[in-house]
Amino acid sequence: MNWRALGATALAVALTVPFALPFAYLLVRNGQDLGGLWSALSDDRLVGPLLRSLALGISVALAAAVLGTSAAWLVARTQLRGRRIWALLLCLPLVIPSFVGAVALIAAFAPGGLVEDLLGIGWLPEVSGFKGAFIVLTLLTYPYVFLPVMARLRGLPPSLEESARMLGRRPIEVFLTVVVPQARAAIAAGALLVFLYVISDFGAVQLLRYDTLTRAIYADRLLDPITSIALSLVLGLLAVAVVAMERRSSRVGLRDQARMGTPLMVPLRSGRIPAYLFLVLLIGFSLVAPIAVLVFWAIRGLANGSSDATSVVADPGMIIEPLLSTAGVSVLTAVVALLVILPIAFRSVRRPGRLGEVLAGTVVGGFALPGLITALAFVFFTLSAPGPLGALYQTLPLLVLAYVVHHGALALGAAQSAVAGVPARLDDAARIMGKGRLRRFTGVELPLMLPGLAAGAGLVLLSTAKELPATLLLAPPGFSTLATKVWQAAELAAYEEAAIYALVLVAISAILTWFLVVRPALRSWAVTPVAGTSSTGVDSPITSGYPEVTAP
Amino acid sequence: MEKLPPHIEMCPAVPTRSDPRGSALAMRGVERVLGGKPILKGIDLDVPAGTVLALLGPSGCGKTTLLRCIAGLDRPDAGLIAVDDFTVSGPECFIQPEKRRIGMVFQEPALFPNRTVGGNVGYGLPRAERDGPRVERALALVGLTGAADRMPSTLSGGQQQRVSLARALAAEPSLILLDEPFSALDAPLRAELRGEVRRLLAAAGATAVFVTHDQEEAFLIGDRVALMLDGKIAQVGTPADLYERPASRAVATFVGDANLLPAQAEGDVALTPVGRVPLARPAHGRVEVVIRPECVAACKGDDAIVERIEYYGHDAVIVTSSQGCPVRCRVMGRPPFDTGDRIGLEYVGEPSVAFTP
Repeated sequence: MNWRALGATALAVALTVPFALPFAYLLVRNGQDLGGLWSALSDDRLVGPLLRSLALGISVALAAAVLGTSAAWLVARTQLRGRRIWALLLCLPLVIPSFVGAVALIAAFAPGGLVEDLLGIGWLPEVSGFKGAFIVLTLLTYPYVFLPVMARLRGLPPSLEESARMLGRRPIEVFLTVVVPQARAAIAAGALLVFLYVISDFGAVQLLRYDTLTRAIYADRLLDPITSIALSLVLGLLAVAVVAMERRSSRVGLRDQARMGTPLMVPLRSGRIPAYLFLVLLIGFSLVAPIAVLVFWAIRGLANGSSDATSVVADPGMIIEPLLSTAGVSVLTAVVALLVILPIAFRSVRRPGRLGEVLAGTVVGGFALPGLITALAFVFFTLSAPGPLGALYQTLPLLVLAYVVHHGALALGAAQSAVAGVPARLDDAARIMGKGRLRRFTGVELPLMLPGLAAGAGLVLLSTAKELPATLLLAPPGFSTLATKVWQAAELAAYEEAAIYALVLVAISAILTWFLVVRPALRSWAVTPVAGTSSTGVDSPITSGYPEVTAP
Repeated sequence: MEKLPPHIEMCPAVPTRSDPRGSALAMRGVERVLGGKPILKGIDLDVPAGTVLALLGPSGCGKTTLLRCIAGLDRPDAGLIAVDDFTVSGPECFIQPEKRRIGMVFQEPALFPNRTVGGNVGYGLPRAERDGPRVERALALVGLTGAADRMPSTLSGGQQQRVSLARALAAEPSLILLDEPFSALDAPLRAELRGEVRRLLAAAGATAVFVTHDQEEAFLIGDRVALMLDGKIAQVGTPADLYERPASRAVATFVGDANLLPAQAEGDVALTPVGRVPLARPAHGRVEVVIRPECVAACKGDDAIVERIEYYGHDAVIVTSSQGCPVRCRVMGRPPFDTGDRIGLEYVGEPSVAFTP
């Protein structure tokens, strides 16, 4: 190994260190205070929230698995009209952050909300607690199952299902006895992602007042930091364990046989009406209803105006400031993330081996840790650190660092594919022509990698724009993004204001998602998958390179 | 996303009786267009009960599409298909594949990987019989006694294909379709399975349609062979019919090795470069006569010049030139000639057929 290669390795290792910081901090801090850890873990403050997190995570994962798998089968295997449109619409709930979904549910059932208006009833059901969190999270997360199952169904050899039909089994039996067992690994991978999403979720459970681990960690952070840190470690270990399981389960069982011809489409017949009804209701409740509620409140707010001159309702121009903050900090994060990730991607792709895997795994670990915990670790770290480090608390650099640590993995997969996509021969060729390292990088490699890198940076941008807990904890005083504006307004029950910010956020998220996630996915579906190359279709750094799992 | 699904839709649950013809499978005027291209151009075909029909044709001739239409995995655009005298596919009616009682073996074994061998074989049986003696019997039939508890992935390719056959046979279907079932296997295994499948189908008294592009396979397995060329049935008959009395030039050249020699026909005899050849059907004037290489004997003489010898071991083909046209002549063992020798040619076969060019 020459000096230059050594330098590149040292750089990659150094850049990976921040990704390990939050988890390392939790371990060290808990290790220093084992008594506090023990007392926190052994009493009710842990058991209750942990059980609630698990209950919510498991029930949402199961419900999302059922909804996502059924929807995928209907779209991929029955004579449904408008297959492409349904597939597209069924992915779209991904653009709604969980706290926006929660705001929509609360606002719909709030006094004077859409439900009261439409139904004209005075009595409104209680939507907070487990029920509300379960409904919101299930409706927003089923696409994480829908997408990999769709990909799996596309990869299944049609002769399996055809054999089963020829042997006299009805389509529904074929679905249960052949399709589901064959898609089991994809369903499990999707359900684990949903579970991870739910146990990491902060916005929805906080707004809907369901006391899970994240809510307890947030509530205790000021008055009882020892418990908060202990619970963070528990949640962090749980999340990392889930990711480890997910990576293992996605590695086995997804080998496709050669796939020939188009699959047999099941006639819907008398099931036609229930089938369309199911899809319409699913999309209606997960996508149309939340947006309709937000539009309802936004229009009402803008029509009635507000007595509060500081509200966006009174002055729509006030949207500009959080919009620019969101855009600015997201772009900054995307650029920094790319600069940090690129050397790591280079090292792990160009010199494959144990070290490269450890580096990439550490970056993914930063993503696995819930955003709330990443942010809290930085808060506690800077608050207890002396001198210049302490001064970083609630500054823009620290906020961007937390974003990069939490979302960097989203760019890693794309960057790794981009680096792998540049043939090493090209570098040799340029070298023979006498070009220096920098010239080779800027003149040959960078232009070739640019589309892939842009996609990776775009995913970081999208996730940062929707980020809530880290922004709440680490943003400099007076710095607001669209997400924190939605949050503050929702906590004050100012639904008109929350709705306006939320709609703008959803619109931005939808546009970015369309270009970064949906269009590439549709394009890859247009071509028949090649035998043996199965992608689960889920955009996650955990399974593949193109992630979109964003901690709410 | 994917292309249009096969147009499979509703149809009456009770099959309607069609014109009974005494055939286990009957097709009339079956047509199918895929992607704007006609694939099946009016197929008429009958398979008597208890016989095996080999559907032979080059790849792309539409034989697999026809098989899928029979199975109910695809719907013809026109024409009738009847199984055991019940219409399963027609302009007004389409029976779903699971209601047709037709067994099918695909190119790949298509075993359910999550089920044991026994679970696969029992899949098409009524619930009560799924792990009973019928499964064991079907496995014994294909020589896999005792394999019921194994997983398909632990079997070799040939064994998997046997299980697939046992699975199709176990349900005792009225018709079995085999879609090039040996194409993924290597040559020795193919030869072994061919004989076995022929014996099995005969023992079971099954009516079967066997699709293949391999003429040898079609002749070995089929009681009758239907040659399909470009979406049409070119000829149906026993293997000997197709080989000895081809209905057209195309059939003659696709089935086996053939010399097509220019000749002058005079009634039931034709004058060819290999001498006088008796004709099965009288003809007159300029014709082309089908002459199989093994029907030409090489002897001492001065009729032709040896241009090349293709030596295969058990036999050899002498490529000669006689009166300016190439004549292939098959002899057993190694021929006692060399390139450049002058030899005599003599026709030694049964009466042949002639076509006007």
